[in-house]
Formats: sequence, structure tokens, C-alpha cells
Amino acid sequence: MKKIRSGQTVSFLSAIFLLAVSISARIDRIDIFDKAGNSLLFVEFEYDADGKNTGRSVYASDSTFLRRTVFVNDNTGKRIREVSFDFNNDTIGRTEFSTIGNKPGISVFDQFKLDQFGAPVSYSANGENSYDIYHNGSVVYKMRYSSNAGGDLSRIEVLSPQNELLYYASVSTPSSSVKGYTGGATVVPKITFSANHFHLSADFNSVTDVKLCIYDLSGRLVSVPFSKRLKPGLFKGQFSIDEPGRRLPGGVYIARLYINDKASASTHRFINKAGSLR
Amino acid sequence: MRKTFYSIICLLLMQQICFAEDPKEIVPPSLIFELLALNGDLETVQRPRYLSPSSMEVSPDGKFIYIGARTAKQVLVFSVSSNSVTKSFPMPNEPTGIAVSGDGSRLYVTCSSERWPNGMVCVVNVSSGTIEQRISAGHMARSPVLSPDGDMLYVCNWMENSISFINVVSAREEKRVPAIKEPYSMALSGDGAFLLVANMIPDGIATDTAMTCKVCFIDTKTGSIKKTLRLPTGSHSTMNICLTPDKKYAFIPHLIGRVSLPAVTLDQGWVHSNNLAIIDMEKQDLYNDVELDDNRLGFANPWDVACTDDGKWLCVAHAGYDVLTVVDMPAMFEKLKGKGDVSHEFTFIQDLKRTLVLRVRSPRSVAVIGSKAYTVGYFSNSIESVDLNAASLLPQLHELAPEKALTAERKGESYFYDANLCVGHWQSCHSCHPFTRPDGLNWILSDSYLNSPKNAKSMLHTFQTPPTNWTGRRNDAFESVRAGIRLELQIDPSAEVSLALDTFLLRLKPVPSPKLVKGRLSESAQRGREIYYDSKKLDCIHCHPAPLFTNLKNANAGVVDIYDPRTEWDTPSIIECWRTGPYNHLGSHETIEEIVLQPGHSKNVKALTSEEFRDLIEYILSL
Repeated sequence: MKKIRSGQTVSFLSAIFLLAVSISARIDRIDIFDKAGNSLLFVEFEYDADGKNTGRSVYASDSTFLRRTVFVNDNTGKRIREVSFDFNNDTIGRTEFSTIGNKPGISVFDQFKLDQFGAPVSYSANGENSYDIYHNGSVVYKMRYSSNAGGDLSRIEVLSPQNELLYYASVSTPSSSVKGYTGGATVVPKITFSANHFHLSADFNSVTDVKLCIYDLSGRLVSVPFSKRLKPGLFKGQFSIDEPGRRLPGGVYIARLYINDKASASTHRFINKAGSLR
Repeated sequence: MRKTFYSIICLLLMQQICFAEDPKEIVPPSLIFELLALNGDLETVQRPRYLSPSSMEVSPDGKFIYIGARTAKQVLVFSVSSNSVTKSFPMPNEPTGIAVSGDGSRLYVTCSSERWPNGMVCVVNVSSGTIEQRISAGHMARSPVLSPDGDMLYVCNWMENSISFINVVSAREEKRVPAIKEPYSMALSGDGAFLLVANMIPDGIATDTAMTCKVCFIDTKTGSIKKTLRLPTGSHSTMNICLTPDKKYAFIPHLIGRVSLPAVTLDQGWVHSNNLAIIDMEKQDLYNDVELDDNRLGFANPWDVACTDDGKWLCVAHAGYDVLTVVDMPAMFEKLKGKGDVSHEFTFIQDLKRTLVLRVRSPRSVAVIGSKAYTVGYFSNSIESVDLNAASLLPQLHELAPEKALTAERKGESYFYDANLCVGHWQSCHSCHPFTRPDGLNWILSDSYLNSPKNAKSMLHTFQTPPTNWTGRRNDAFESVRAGIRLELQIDPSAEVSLALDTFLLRLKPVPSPKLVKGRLSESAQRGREIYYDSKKLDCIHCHPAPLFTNLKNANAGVVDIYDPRTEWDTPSIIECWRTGPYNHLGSHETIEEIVLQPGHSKNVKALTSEEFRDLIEYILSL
């Protein structure tokens, strides 16, 4: 086993691993935007222990839960239906799969069996990564799938029949960064200082990198007490001004928050009352 | 050893490769379509993408009108020089109101929808059309108003009964203060010291014969309600507010329901009259209330109001009757001097007004530039303009987008708001069921037993929860729709109108409760859910079982009714009960807590601890 530490072996394994990841990278989440880049929705996918996709949850772009969908398979394992549930776990709809003129298609119903689209929707390939979407007998939209340099599916575009971009979805896999809401934080995080602590509260639409930098009055960076990637939703906590194991001397400092590596517009001047080490 | 190791590694990786699903199977084109179509973004046969223009705001230079096109999720930029749409700004949710910064560089667009009611303010850069920031607001946020210094934006959180104070400099909601019930529109005093908030639905119990909706004055410094005014008894549906150019008065269009009279005729506002409240902003008092109807002709559903800058004309858009009333404002104030209450005088402004029949359907917004008034109709893809100074009002119609054929559902929706179907144009279905939900009032319907009052019902799930009516005497909503047309609109129900209304009502969806936290049950509501479903502890699920939360049967909930000797009433669904108060067939309970605790309603509820009871109520109000 020691031999795997040799450079040659590690390179070989890395290559195989990367190949495997590039082929098998599962889709964790998709974020859907309008053509102006406004985030509309995101979907998180669920998998079983074998890596098989078993369902998904749909959220509005501010992380508001909209519905959860699970798949119903026949005894051969073929998916025959999807059932959607609301916040109370009550059924609110189902999607039926069918073949419409040799094209795979769906019909979507609410819990009262009312057809939500008025007619089935089907699609057919129009090239390797392009599809025509049929509804009520004609092509109503087109979709184009594209991959990143690693070969992973990274973007799906919804186009008009005249090829005008209408919407797009960015695809997140474990090997690609989560795109999320790209228009900036919904709410500037709220930060208050007391003694040698600070309170941070925020409500993000997507995964957001948050960093707090402390500068002395000469503008020298003296501490980075908080640097985290925060999940979408509400975040609230109290943290020490000190970096772990290093006490910040008492005095006047200036703090600045960085959201996704961009400095927030305002700074905070505060007095550090040099508390005890954690 | 090495061979074995590599073999195992390769096998493991191959297994992973073999089991990996094709990404296109996980995200097939049909899924993307489904997601966007259910979100109202992609057109379907069932749901074409109508514009539904419902709000307007004029740019400071008067060259453009920004139009909030609700179901198209767009703000349209309409040039008044070219009479055409020059740009459109896509919004992430339905635009419900627009405010413009003083320099005209930014739009503050409130966005929310029944599908995704969590409100937000989108700050739009007018030159680039991009959304620079999204700022969270409350449930069904609408009616944004900017402070005179441009730093603070006030927003009505319609279904949350609150007002958001949003600092637009820091892009942060500073506070959320309570209003009364369903604050739908708002205006700011000239000095910015207080907000005038119009609450759309009466609060209190419906057995109070003086029940009416209220307007309140909120101090912008403290956020507290400083004064509350009652509009004339029976008032509701206060849809908009407009200040006079000198900011001395505010106009609020509203309806007055004559709830103490049996609804046997519609003539002369017997059931509903359509009025305009005039508020004295300095005295913070009701100055008077003017009847907008004629003696023999109703002008149903006044929705928006605007004044010309010279104070000469006052325009009221009537969404039910598709007309614009243009009132000589100085003459009206002159005539009102020294007058008492004129809210029932049908002829009071008859000689002071002109009426313009509009071609746009359901005009819900009116804007004025100079002497020109512009109106948009919710069911039309066009804007209509008219020169108010002209000797005769000759409107011009300008297309915002090509018209789309109406589906049966959309036709039904338009009929629901259409008082042209009603004898004398006095009221529409929306008059008693604003936005298909109850108006909070008791009505004595013309065919009711012993002329006994009954609380207005929600139309949500009415087709799925037969029988209808509180007594359950109509078999289903199919029967009720036709009876409603015959009795409340007083016309013969045509197949086209009835079936379209059926389709519209059949497809109504509940609005997620403001009690939900990011669309999910709060911790308290989750605990309440456990209690609700625990049949050993409580009997809630016997009469209100999921998924419709009614067993479709009549029951005696112990409600005391001095008007009607019967004791058993239709068990209502409790979905959306966070917005359907007051409760029971008589509207005699103001809160859910009261009806749940009503003796005879539920066994064992009094055995719950106060925490358990609170959790239970939290769950019920989350449905």
C-alpha cells in the first residue's frame, strides 16, 4: 500500500478519479434565471444510497419552499409518475409520463386531476444537445444543453422558436461551484459589535461567502475573525472578534464585511474591549 | 497486491460510472418546462402569458409611464411621445406596485404573487434595466411609497397586516409595524410625517352592524398608529389612495355594503354603492364621502384615483364598469362646503362629472400627465389616454402588446370582476368576494331563510367542498354560481358566463400563509400539527380532515345565532383561515382562538396547556 504514495501512482489514480467524476458527477442543484439574470427558482435533487435520483424539492430564489416531488416507479424500476407535496405533506399535484407521437412527454395535474397545462408537453432531440419542445401540436420552445470544460452538464437554455434566449438554468454538481443567486445578497447582513464580540444576522438567497475583516486605524488588516460559506436562508450568530488563539488588543478598529469577495458599502467603527481568549 | 488494489479501485469507479444517471434524465427538457410553466414563466395552453397591467407610475420628467404588468412579471416603459412601449424590465415575481426615485434613476418595484407571496422590493436601474438589489419585505408586499428625501420606502404587506419601513440606502428593512386588516394602499403626507393606510377589509365581528373598514394614520418616526378613522358603515375594498396636489386631502375609492338590508334589489345602491372617501390630511379626519353612482346606474368597483397637477380634474377608474369618471374637483369642494354626510346622495356630483366609457377591460390604474389621463385594464394589453381639457372626452387606445385570446379560465376571471353583467352595473362578484375571498361582512341574501344574515364565504375550493352555502342547501358550486348570477347580479345566467366562472373558480389555488417560515411550518406549527392529528387528544380531524380540512358535512359548532333557529351548519375548510375571519356562519368570532374555544365546538381543547393551544392555533393559521 505504501507504493501508492509514489507520484506516478498518485497521478494515475487522480486521472481515473477525475475521469470518474467528470462522467458520473451527479446534479445537486439547478438554479433558474430569466434572461436578465434574475434568479427565479432553484431545485435540489435527492438521491438514494445507490446514487439514484429519487426526488427533488423546488424553492423560490429566496429559499422559500414551494413543493417536494418524489418518483413512483413500476415493478421494473421504470418511473411512471411523479407526485408533489406541499409544506404539510399533502399531495398537490402529479406528473404523468407518456409518449406522444414517439416523443417522450408529460402531463401535469393538480390534486383535483385538473390538467395544469391544457395539453401534454413533449420533446424531441434536434441535434446532440438541442431539443424542440412541443405543446398543443407545435414547437413552442427550444432547449439547449451545454457542458463545462470537464464535460459536466453546466447550463440549460430555454429559447424561443426563433432562438431568442428566454431563461437559463445553471447546473451545480459536487465538482462545480453552486451558482445560486447572482444578483448579490438580498439583504445586507446586519452586524453589531459589543465588547469583544459581534452579532451577525443575514438572509441569503443562495450560498454566499461571508468574510469579516478587522483593520486598525492605519488601515492594516489585523484580524479575519469570520470567513465562512453560508447556506441560503436565515443565519444568525455571535462570534468573537479575536482569531482563534490570538487576542486582538483593546482599541478602536474598523470592520468591513465582504460578501462573495466584494466589500460591502459601509464600514463599522468599534471599540474592542479585549475580552478573554476562547 | 498492487494489481488487486487497482482492480478494486477500477471496479469501484466503474460501478459509480455505471450507476450514474444521465444528467439529461435527471433534468430532462420536460422538467425545465414544468418548473417554469408552473411558476407562470412559460406559456401553456391553459395559461397564456397575459400582461395584466395593474399599476402605473409616471417618470419625474413626465415622459414615461412605468406599467406593472403582473402576470407577465414585467415593468413596461411606455413613452408618452411615441405612445409605445420602448423597454421592458423582467421581474423575478409579479410587480404589484412601483415608486420612482426623485431623480428618476431608480424604480422601487414591489413584487409578490399568490404563488410566491414573500414580498420583495426590486431596485431597478432605469437606464440599464437591471435589478441592482432585492430587499425583503412582507407577505404580498405592494403599494410602495417613497419618503420625500428618498431614503425610506414604505410598503404595505397586504396579507400580513403590516407596513415595512425599508431604508433604501442600506437596502435593509428597518422595521415592520402593524396596520389593521389587509392594508392594500397607502399615501404619505406632504411633510412625510405620517402614512395614511387604507385597510381593505373590515376588522371585528360581522354581527356588529356598524362594521366597516378603517384607514389609519401611522407616525413615520415611531411606526405607531396615531389615529384610526372609520369609513361610513359597511365600507370595504379601499383599493387606492391619491392626494390632492396641495396634499391637503386624500381620496380613497371604496364600496359601501348595505348589510342590514335584505339583498332583494340592487337599484339605488340597495346592496352596494360605489363611493369616494375624502380625508382631511391636516385634521386627520373624514371630510366627507361622495357617492360615485348615478341614481339609476351603478359605477361598480372604483379602483384607482388620480388628480391633475393643476387640481382641476379628479379621475376615478371603475374596474367593474370599465368607465372613467372625471370630476370637476374645485366645483366638488365648493359644493361640499358646509355639507353634512353625502355618502348616500346619488345626484350630488352628477352635474360635476363626466363619464368616459373605456375600451380597456377592468381598469385598475389611472395616471395623469398634464391634462392627459392614462388608464390600463387588467384584462387588456393596451393603454387608453384622454385629454381631460377637451370639450368632449375622446379616448385613444395604444397597444402595449398584441392581445391574446382569453381561455375559459381567464374569461371566468374577467367575468368575476365584471359589473357589466349586473343589472344597473351596481356590483360584480368581486364586490362581495374581493379577490374571490370573503369581504368579512354578513349579508342577508334575497332567498335566505327568515332574512337571517350569513357571513360571506370564500370561493376557494368551493367546487371541491360541496355542498355550498352555510346551510348546505345548494348541492354544489355549480348550482351556487348560477344562483349567484341570478340573485346577486340579477341576470339570467348564460351558459358561457356560468361555465367560464366555473372554470375560474375550479382552478383557484390557496395562497401560502404568512405564518409559514420560508414556505415551511414553523417549529411551533410543527408541534401544533402533532396535536391536531392526535385523535386521542383532540377531535379536530373528525370534522376538518386533510387534505381539504372539511368532512363536507353539517355540524353544530355551538355557535349562538339569534336570527336563525337552525343549529347545524356547513363545516368550512380551514385552508386559508388566516385570512377568512371573522369566523362561523354568522361571523361572530373574530379570531380562530375564539371559535376553537367556543363551547360545543371541540372536545378536550381546554385540556391543552397554553403552549399546546398556541402551537395548535399556529398550525391552523399556517394552512
